[in-house]
Amino acid sequence: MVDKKFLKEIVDHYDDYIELRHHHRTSQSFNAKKGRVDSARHGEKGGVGVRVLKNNQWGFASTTGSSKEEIKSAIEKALENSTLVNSSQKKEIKLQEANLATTDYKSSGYDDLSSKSTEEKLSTVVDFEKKILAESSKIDFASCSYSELIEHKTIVTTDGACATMQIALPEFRVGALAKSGGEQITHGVSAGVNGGWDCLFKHPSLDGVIQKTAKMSVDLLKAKYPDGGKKQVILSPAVVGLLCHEAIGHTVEADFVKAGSVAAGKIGQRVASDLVNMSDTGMETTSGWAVGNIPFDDEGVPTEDTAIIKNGMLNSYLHNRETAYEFGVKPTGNSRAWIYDCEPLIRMRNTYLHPGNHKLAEMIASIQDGYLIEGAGSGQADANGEFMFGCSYIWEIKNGKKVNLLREATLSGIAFDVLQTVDMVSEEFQWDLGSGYCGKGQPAKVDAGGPYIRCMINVGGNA
Amino acid sequence: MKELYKDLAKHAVSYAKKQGAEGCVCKIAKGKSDEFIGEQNHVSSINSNEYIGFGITVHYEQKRGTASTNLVNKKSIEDAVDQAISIAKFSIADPFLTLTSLDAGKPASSLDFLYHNDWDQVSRNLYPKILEEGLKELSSHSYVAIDRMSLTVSENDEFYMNSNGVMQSEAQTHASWSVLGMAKQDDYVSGMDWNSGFSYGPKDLEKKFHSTMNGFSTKIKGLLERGKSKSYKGCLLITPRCIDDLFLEIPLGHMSGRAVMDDRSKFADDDHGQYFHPSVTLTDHPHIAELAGSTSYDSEGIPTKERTLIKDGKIQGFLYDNYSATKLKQKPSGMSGGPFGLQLHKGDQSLKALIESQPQLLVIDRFSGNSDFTTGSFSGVAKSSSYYENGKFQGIVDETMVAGNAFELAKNVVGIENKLNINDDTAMYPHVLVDGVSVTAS
Repeated sequence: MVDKKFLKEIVDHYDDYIELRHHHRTSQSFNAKKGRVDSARHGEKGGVGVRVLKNNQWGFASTTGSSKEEIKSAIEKALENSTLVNSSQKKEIKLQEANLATTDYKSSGYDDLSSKSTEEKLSTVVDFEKKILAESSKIDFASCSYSELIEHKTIVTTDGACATMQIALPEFRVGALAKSGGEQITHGVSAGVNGGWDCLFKHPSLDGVIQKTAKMSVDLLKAKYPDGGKKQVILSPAVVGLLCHEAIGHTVEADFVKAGSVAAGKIGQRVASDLVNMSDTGMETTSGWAVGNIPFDDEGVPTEDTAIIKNGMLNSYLHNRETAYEFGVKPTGNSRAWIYDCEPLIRMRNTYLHPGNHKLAEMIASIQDGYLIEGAGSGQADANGEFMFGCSYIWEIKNGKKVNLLREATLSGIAFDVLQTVDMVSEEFQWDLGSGYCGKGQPAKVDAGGPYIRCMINVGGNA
Repeated sequence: MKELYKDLAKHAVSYAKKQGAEGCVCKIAKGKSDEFIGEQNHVSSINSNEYIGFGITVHYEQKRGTASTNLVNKKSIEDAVDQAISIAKFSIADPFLTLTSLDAGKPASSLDFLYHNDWDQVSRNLYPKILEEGLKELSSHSYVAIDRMSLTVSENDEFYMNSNGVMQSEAQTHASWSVLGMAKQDDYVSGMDWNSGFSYGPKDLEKKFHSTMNGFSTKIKGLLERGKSKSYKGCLLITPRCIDDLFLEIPLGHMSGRAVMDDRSKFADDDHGQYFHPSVTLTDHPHIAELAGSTSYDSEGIPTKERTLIKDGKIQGFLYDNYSATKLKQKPSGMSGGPFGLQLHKGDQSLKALIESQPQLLVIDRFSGNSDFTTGSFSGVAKSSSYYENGKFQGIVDETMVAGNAFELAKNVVGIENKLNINDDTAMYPHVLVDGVSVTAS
């Protein structure tokens, strides 16, 4: 690992803004299916990314080396890049002031996961796959995978950031394919945390995961498709998380706002019902294990809870130091890069709806004809807030009772329109999108979640 | 590639054997790139990167482990080998683990068009100028909102060797560019869309770049011609851009040896079955200068060659990697990591005739939704898509859902365009008219 004082000694020789980011990552992944280990991998990648700001132009370079000469050579390359553009189209770039981080942070799971044996991780994966297969004669195929990222990052800038962080991000996935009488269906569950091994298996989604996964895939064999149409629904925390992250979160990233996203020019306007409060946070404390927990971002800006929507009114965008200055606000700590050779972009961290006062049971009892939407799958959303999410299963609600399990629903709509219809928000809350990656030209580990919410949404069913 | 790196690869393989591995593969990927990025109307950043990665896979007591490192020295390579062996030790023995034989992995013929020395004659100062001109041109249109424009110039070098003596290498230069943005007019903001381009050599770079940007401007302007679709069940016209998502991806997945081996393929009973309409012929071309996926060998070190995957609607066998080939007692297909340059053969109808043939027709350009590999069913939103009635354009539509089944679409081809289009620089497809889709308007 590279010492932060060593990096500080290097940057102190420069007058321009220089940002050094040493990032070392160890990764492991194991996958078991059909009684075999399909892949078992270990990776190491590390280096120093250099970003400079000179004459209103950013330049970036990177090196896998960690010697003073190699890092200085990368700085010179980045400075050379910043001089390549001599143009009247350049705009003035200034960075917003911030109390930059000087701390050393290690997440609670770092030592635990680093010392966990490969043997135990791999044998757990093999064991879970066997057990899911053994749960029912109708389970024809099972799979199980585990992956982890163990990261050590050092950020040093010429204007005062000098900090380190060590975090561990394990995740777990199981899947089952059930077959019966010509019908077949797949179902899967996944979970990810910012923490250690035990923390991962304490995630609510992994509680009884073997039995739950097998049972749900078998039960779905008999399930019908939902009727399509605009329906009153209760969205589960995972689906709420998808909505927050995909359909709203990206539209309020300041670079996207500048490009003209649907959130542009809407600060201070109503975008949701007044029951809706939505934030993006870098250090959530309700569970302590949300995957996007980082003490500071890749510019050294300490993270905090950024209130995006307050009582239904759009309150803030997500910023790096450059856009914060342009918009005349505090930086929000959203500047993140995937690995050392990527430039930082504005990314989310943990995006969520705040819990409310209702109980889930009372919310179900309030619906005469609608759905409880669970089984969140993948989702996509667009610059105009139009979204489409897939759900592997939902529950029909009739006269206030959960009655039938239904399969493969899709949800669609315009995000801000859906949020305007929110009229109940539960006190129950969960982080539930910590597995997988957000993509925006480069990956990012994030989390999302929320309470259960009652709203109106388009539900798509069978063709 | 420098002899230093090849020597390190050879050392990795011999060290692995010394440590008791019965087999080892070492892959090296090395390269450098300059990326020029523009946002809205200015060049926002210029990024230079050099990278090197060593990937090592060992077979140890019939168990496999893989490790990688980007540190280039003997000790780090040995550590990676030790790590791979350590992982393998805890895995499950598998008698079907195989490495490419010398016979299957003969030296691949080099593809001269992949590497161009004349990139050295292009001044680095030119690239930000090209980007700035592109930004200026697009920003001059009030209806275009640019999120990001980029131009990347790269040089990559790859080397493969295994403990059976198979050795392959390939070097490549290329420039790739893209623009991402949306249409805007008053309060209206369209969905995101993009264009991209690619070239192995620098010839006509500026012209190709500006052609991509002009195409994007035209496409974006088209997104402002808004209309409403109507719900119907019937035909869908799939544009080249959407052929992978809706027409080919799932059936091709069921042609993989892995799917057959795992009893997950719907085609397992007949490797020459009629699973597509007789008008469908699909070939893979790994050696085409216009396509970005061209390569002389696959990811297992087997030389690539042109291959017919579907002929007159019948699949022409399954696609095996070393593992599935060994398990199913077949020969590997030389398409691991592929396909590399798909071509769906053109038909005999003009695009105009296809559009005019239907009373109601959604022309789907992009699909944003979910597909189920097992059942083939899909459901999602049609993006940047247009609706026609009796051949007349009604507008670009929002919030229109499509649902259907990929296996049924494969058989229900109504017509194929008589022209090929390069799609995303990776494939050549015509428009394809299919039946059996539900379209639900908002």
